Amino acid sequence: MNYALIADCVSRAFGTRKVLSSATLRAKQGEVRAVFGRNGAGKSTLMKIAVALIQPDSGVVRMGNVSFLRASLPALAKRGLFYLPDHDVLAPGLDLDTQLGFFERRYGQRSRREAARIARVEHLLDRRPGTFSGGELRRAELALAIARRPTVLVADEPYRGIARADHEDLTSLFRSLAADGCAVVVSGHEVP
Amino acid sequence: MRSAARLIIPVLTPRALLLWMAVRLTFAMLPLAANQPFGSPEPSPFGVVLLAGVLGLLDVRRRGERILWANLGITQPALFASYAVTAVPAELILQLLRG
Repeated sequence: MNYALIADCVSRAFGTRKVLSSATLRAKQGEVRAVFGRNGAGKSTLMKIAVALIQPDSGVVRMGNVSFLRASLPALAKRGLFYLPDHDVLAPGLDLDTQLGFFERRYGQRSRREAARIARVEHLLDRRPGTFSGGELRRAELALAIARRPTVLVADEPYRGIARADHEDLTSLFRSLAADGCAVVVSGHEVP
Repeated sequence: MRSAARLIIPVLTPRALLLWMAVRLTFAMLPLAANQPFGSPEPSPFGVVLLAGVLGLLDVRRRGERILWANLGITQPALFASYAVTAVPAELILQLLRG
């Protein structure tokens, strides 16, 4: 079976503490997949290995037909990956329009206006992320991904710190990205 | 895909120039701070360029832009180069002015 992204049999220890042992994450085009587990179970480490922010002690990351022994996030991003970390991805010092403009100009997949409209953040374009509410911030972050139109989206704990009313919005955006052909992986320690 | 340079140069060049000026100002002030107005050696231009690059990477982290640039496919060496390369003409002009 063809997967868009695989972190295959990856292991990782920090000092003497073994966080992951032969863990595997597979992302498939057109599907939203979820990684659940309690705090400290190693979800974020697995996600970070999958997007090459952390190198595994053993195992391999594959994107499409290419295997990476020492991948990097910029290299995977150029191939179509977008990473939404468990801390804010938006730069606090730049307004949303500028940041969406980077993705529009770099990848030319979707205009900033259209991405903002889909994520329902048009009214936030001229504002900086520090002034957004939790739900607005998460939708604005997803607007970057929508502008990128990625083949793989890895979102680490995207439901953290937002109101229940915003959960459904976020889930709809993930589903629409998957319907567009994206392989979506989300993590969390609660079912939204 | 549009080139990374066309994306980052307009954003990072002004910052890199400010950072270079801050580095030069700091080196100029160090002897005064140490109460030795004539006793401190001049830093090499190459060292200043390298320092500007390293401080540039720290500046990107401080601003919380590391993941943003990475998602744009822009590597750490490219960010380092953006800051360091901006310091090169600035150092050249400074050396010319000093004769």
